[in-house]
Amino acid sequence: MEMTEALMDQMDAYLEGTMTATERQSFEKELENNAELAEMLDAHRSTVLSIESVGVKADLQQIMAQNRAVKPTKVRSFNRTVLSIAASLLVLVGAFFILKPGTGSSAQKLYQAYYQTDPGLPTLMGSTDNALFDDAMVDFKSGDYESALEKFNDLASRDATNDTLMFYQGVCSLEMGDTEMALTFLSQIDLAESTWAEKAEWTQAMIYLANEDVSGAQPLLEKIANTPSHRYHDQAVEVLDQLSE
Amino acid sequence: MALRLLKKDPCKAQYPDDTALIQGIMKNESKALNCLYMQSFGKIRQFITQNNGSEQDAEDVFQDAVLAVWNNIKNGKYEKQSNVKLSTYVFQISKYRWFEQLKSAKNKYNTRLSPDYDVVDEQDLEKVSEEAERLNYLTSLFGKLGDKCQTILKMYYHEKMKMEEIANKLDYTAKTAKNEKYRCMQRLKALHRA
Repeated sequence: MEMTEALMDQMDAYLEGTMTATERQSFEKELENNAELAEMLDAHRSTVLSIESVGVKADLQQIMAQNRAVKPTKVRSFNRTVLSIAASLLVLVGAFFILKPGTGSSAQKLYQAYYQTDPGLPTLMGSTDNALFDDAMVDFKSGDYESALEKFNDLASRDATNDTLMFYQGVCSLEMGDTEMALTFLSQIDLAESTWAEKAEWTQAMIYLANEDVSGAQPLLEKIANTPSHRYHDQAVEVLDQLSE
Repeated sequence: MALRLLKKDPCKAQYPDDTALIQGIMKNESKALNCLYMQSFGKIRQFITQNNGSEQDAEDVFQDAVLAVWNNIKNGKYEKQSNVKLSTYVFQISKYRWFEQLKSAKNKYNTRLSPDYDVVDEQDLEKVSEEAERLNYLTSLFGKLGDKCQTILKMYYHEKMKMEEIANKLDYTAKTAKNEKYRCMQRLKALHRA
């Protein structure tokens, strides 16, 4: 069977989903009865995918190059104490402007009023990585979120599905000001199964408020407010009330 | 409360969940690929650089893993993995591929990696990885086509441009553009068969 131009057009239309229902039905019937045609279609699909993948590869390379260009250089050798002092000063100056009464949008004010950093875990996780986890938790509780995040990331690289790690990776990222990364970590938590679901849901809603993204926060807040047993139920009801004012 | 320098999450706005992200990837949207990068690359880089790899290794592995996932999505096979987040799936494939690379260079490295692919079946990872290898090979043949053929095929199949638009851009008539596309496809298919 020869691959004519008309047959190639037919195959393209089939793969692109541009055939009418009748054309599709008839072509599929033909495929069922003609093994050679089915084989040719498979080969055509492979060829098309190989072309598309060239473009996808080029896009990926461009994305990586762009992100490489904007990635900040990490100053590892710099004196940690000096960095901590500088960071603390920045926090104080920043906090003055952010917490100053009357500043920020109403959504941000709600975030400032309602969000509280998780106090951290007092107990061990019950794995062989307890020592490192404890260490990370000590950093977390002392407010050294950068160091804590490095350790949580290390643990997560060996246990990608651990939702405790996802939650604390998210909170550390948020404390470091990276709400994008915080949302990425928190959104990986299974809201139907995880014991961290309620905290993750609430924290995500808070992040959206902080970003003045009320439409992002609203569905999460409504879900929480509609679940009387949710640990943040009362707060969600209050926040929604204030948002509607 | 600590100071927060807050940033919006454009990915969440455009692709609120994995279903939307997968649809974007299906359409070869580079914004969707960028979001997948944002969601998964940090973790992959961390894992690889902590396990005898370099930044470049992390990028190579990430690229292969995304292409493998993309291939799986395009072939309609990703549905079976719907209980796993896309970024987790990319991470698991990256982990698998990096582990395979380390295994093949085991005399060079004393690895502390263990092959625990807890959320995705290892056989599935192996299959996805093999298919990606095959796709990589087919992709390499594309470079053997002439520039004009590469351009016309990329415009039609990757960028999803209409034949009339292609003809306009390349200063062809619609009929010539269509004939050219057919001729170039036949050449590429011949390379695949060789």
